[in-house]
Parts: sequence; C-alpha cells; structure tokens
Amino acid sequence: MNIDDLLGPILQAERPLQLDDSVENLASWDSIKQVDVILAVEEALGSGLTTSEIDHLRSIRDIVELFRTHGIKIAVCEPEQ
Amino acid sequence: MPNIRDIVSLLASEESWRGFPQIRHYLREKRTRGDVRALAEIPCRSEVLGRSDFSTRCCRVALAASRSTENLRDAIAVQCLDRGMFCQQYHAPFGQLGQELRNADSGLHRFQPDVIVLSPHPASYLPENAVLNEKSASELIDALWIDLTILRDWFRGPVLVQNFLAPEARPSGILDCKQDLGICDFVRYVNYSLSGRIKALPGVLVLDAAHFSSFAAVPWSTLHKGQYLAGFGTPDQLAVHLGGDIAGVCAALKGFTRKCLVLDLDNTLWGGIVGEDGVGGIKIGGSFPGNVYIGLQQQIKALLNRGILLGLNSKNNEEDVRRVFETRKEMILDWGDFACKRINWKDKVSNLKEIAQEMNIGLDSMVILDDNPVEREWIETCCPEAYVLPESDPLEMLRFLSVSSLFDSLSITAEDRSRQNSYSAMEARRRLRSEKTDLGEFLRSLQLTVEIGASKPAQLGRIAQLTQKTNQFNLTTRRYSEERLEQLRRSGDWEVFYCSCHDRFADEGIIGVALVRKQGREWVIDTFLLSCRVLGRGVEQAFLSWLCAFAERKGVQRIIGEFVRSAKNGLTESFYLENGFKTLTNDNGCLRFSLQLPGRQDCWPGWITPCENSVGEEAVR
Repeated sequence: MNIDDLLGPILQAERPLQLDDSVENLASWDSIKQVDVILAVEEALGSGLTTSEIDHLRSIRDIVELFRTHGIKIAVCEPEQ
Repeated sequence: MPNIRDIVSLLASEESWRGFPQIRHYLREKRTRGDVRALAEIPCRSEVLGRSDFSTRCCRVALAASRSTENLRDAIAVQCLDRGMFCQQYHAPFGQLGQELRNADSGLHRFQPDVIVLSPHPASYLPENAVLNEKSASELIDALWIDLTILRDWFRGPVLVQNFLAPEARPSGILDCKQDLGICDFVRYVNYSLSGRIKALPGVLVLDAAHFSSFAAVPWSTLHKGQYLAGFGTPDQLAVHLGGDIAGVCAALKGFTRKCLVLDLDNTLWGGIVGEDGVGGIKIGGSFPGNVYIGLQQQIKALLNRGILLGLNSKNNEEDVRRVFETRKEMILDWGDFACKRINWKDKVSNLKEIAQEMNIGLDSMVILDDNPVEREWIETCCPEAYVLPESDPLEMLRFLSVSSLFDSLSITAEDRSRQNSYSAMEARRRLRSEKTDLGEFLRSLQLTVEIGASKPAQLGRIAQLTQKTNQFNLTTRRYSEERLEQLRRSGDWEVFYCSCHDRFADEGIIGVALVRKQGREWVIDTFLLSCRVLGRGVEQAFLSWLCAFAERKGVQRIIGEFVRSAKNGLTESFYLENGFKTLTNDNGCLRFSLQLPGRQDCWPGWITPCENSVGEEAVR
C-alpha cells in the first residue's frame, strides 16, 4: 500500500506526501480533512481508531507508525536530496 | 472499468454526456474515500466547467446549518453525478445559519442557489438547560419558523429542512419515557410538529434525517467522531442518504428524474419461468419466496400511483403472460397497468428502444429491472443512458425501489395519477391511426379539444412540474418552481399560460405551458413547452396561434420566440420558423425569432376545437 494512493486525493498536496508532512505544515490538512484522513485510515485498517490514537495522528509519520503497529507496511515517497 | 481521467475526458467532450453512465459503473466497484473525493470534484474541473452547456446540467445547492455540513459535500456531488448532473455547492460558515439568512450580502444570498438545505440544531434555538416539554418544543419550532419565513421572503426555490436526530444519552435512563417530555419524545414531538407545519408551506420539504438514521443502522447519530473533530452535524453514515434526497430534489427541479420503470417478468415479477413451470407453477403470493414478489409488485404499484410509467420487456409467449395476469389472483399488478409491452423473443435492446419511442421518452428516463445478468449487461452496453439495476434478487429490487429517490418529483398532480390512462388512450389512438389511411381523417376522428388560458393558482403545481420534467418539446428548457411562477404571475410583467386538451379517448389535463415576458408592445416567449404525450396532433400550433391572437388583441406589435439548444430539444429548433416567425439572431445555440402580429397568418389546425374557456378574453382574466 502507498500513502499517496490512500491520502493523496484527500490532502491534495501538489507533490507526493512525505513523512514530515503534518497538520502543522500542510496547508490543505485542516480539521475537516483530518476527519477524512481518519476515516480513510480506519477503512484501510478495517477497524475504528480510539480517541487516543486519533489524537496522536498529526503527521504522515504518525500514520505510517500506526500502520506498522497493526502489522501493515505502507510506502512513503522519499524526499528529493 | 472506467477511471476518473476517462470520465472527465468524456464529460469534457461537447458532443455528448456519455461520461455520466460511466460514473455509475465506476461507483459499482468498491471505492476508497480518495476515489470518491476525486469523483466528487469533477464538477470543479476546468475541462468540464469549460463546456458551453455546463449550466444545462448543473444545479446550485446551498447548505446553511447550525453545525458544519462539509461531510455532505462529496455525497451530494456524487449522488448528483449518478443522476446525470453536476452540483455546485455553497456551505455556509459554521454556526452562521441565522446571519446567512438575514444578511442580504451573505455568501448564501450571493451564491444564488437553486435549492437550499437548512440543517438546524436544537442547541441553536433553545437555551442551555431548557426544560423539555411541549412549550419548549413549540418555542423551538417557532424560532425555526422565523428563520424559514425570512428565507421564504427572498428565496422561492425548493427548501429542504433537515429534522432532528435523537441523542443517544437519556438523562433519566429507562425512566426517560416518564418525564414530561423525555429527550426521545421531545425530538419525536418536534419532528412531528415541524413536518406538520411544513406540509402547509409550498416548496418546503423535510429532509428526514431521523428516518434515515432509523433504517440505515447509524450506530452513533450524535456521538460520532466527526462532531468532535470538525463539528459535523450529521454522521458520515447518514451523508449518503441525505445526499441522495438532496440530489433527488435537484434532479426533479432540473428535469433529470426517471419517469419509467421497465420490467422483466420471469424471476422478476414472479418466481420461476412461466413457459416452463406453467401458469400455476410460478411463485407469487403465499410464503417465501412468493411473498417477496408480492412486496415488489406492491412497491411497483405505489410508483404507478405516483405517475411513474410501467413497461414490460420480456422474452416470453404473450399468451402465457396474459393468462398469468388473468388467472393468478395473487397478482397485484394488472395487465392494464403497463403503458407499453414488448413480450416476444426479440432482442431486449430493440424492444427497449421501441418502448422509449412508443412512450415518447428518452432512454435516460428509464429504470430497468431484470434478473438476468446477461440481458442487463447487453442493455447497459447498448443503452448506457438507461439505469439498469445490477441486482438479480427480488428482495434487493424491492429494497431499491422502496428507498430510491430516482423517481422523486416535487409534487404529485392529478395528471400524474391519471398518466397511465393517458398512455392507454395513446395505445387506442395508435390502433385508430393504423385503421385510418388518411392523416387528416385520423386527426379529425380524434375530436380533439383544447383549452388555453391564463393560469390560476391551483394550476401552478402542474405547470411548475411540466417546466421541470419536459425535455423534448421544450424550446428553452428553463425550469421554474411553483413559488417562482406565482411570483411571476403576480408581477404584472409576465403571463403564465396553460394549455390542456382532451379527445374522445382521454382527458390529458394540462399538457402545455407558455411563459411570456411583457415588454411594452413586444412580448417575449420565455418558455414554450408541450408534454410529449400529445405531440403530433397540432396542439402546439393551436397553442402558439392562440397566444399570438391573444397578444394581438392586447395591442402587441411583435412576438419574440426563443430557442435554447439542449441535448434533447432538437425537434423544436424549427418550430417558430414553421409557424411564420423569422430568424432574428443566432447566438451560440440560442436563437431568437420574431413575428409581426398585424397581418400574421393564422395557423390554428382545423381539426382542433377551441374550448369555450379559451376563446374570449374574459376567460383569461
């Protein structure tokens, strides 16, 4: 699975999503998009997230880590050097 | 399977709207939220917005709410796309319902919507810790009513008022029912009172969130994550249902509602195959599965009573089928309920096209139920405009018909209820036509009488409906709500004329509309339309002739007729020229024609008798 396939159409970044992209630095990632992100993640995991898990989902890195704890590897584009 | 790029490419092509059926196929696959978002954004894509005829397929919907409605955006957009139309949306800022309604410079006003959805929340109308009783319920409704009245002062299009969801928490637990009005009773009471008052307000409808919540298995109606994360007023699970009803209203307003249900017979209207199992062997009525077919037939009958046309398209021996209808007393549907029947061994696509032609409707007005996936696939391939339900199971068909808003209209008129008679009469006329070799003799034998006049308030519902549903003989395809028509009628600058007709076979009721803008000694025909049921009998010429004569009596010197090209009204392009008008301007699909009234040649068909009501001026004043 690829993070851009999952969240790209929702967050509409003009470049591939990167680990450091977050609520703080991605302009399109507002509170409404956050709901979409959470629902998309829940859909992909096949289970609902707890309030605590949702509270910690603030960046792509957090999402990748969450998938890892569920035993799912999700690919993220490497930033250009 | 189509992808978004293909769909956009098809929708951007000026020649057709073939992208819309592809959307239906796209949605049949399991889609992620991202996929749905990409689809929902199609109406905002420049390739599509750039089409010169984009506005003919677009409805503008505004939502004003106590809470955020952003999570309805995709659902509304996608449901509209599924109905063959685009939706442009305005979502009023969070919690600004009252301000948006009252401020003439608000985004809501400036957006100039076709449809407005109000989504109030009780907390916006009741003080915190208000005692829940009949008095506070009435106060809530009264406060909401003030907002609705303010809205009705400046907006005449359809308004949907979302009702209230009962919160999960019952402060008194099981004893909630023993309170003056417990929270559950309070919400039920408010919803009941609200719908009672809305019944009397034309053009205002209830968006029944409480109903959808009860059948759509929404686990948390108010305690959902979206409320706490982004202030969403309704949970996501409800969005698709609310979006469906909103899209249904848009489709009804813009003429994209489905009008006809075409049915297969074996394993669709009854269980089994009549040619193999025999008339007595097919399953209908009694216990399972015969009771499912009864339920399905009852639902189809309900649609018939709403004015939806029924057609039969079945590979069978007609004699066997007739015997089922005549001898199986369990049948809910009657042989005469079907306006058009093709029961033969021919290809179902050819049959379907014949049915469309005979009924004078487009394939895009049809919904098909057929248990056979091969037949469905073939019909979908050849007739992508038709809505083919992808279900073989009669219970799924029943569920679809029970909740679908594809057939929704904004009103049900007397003409709707008698439509089946009208089509039966059409069949009788067709038989007569085949007997008479001379067209003139045939037309005279119909004993056709028309009544034309200025509309009365009670007729505006039907007139609005005709502007919303008529596509083929509609010279400008401009849609009007009942309230807008009333406004025009009262303005003094407009005339709203109706035309009704009857012949020896049927009374068709109101089947024609003309809206005229009066500009001194010049009148402009803004809208001229005729139901396809009566085309080809000269009613359109009679109506136009009467209109010209009436205008002339009023001292009008010149009449201007307009034609705005749509995907469906090609047959009317030369209507004005054929009736003595001269071309005035031709501006990118919008043609204007003029006729000097003094000295004009009368084109009233000799075989049509004017009803007394429509002759004199007294009748129209």
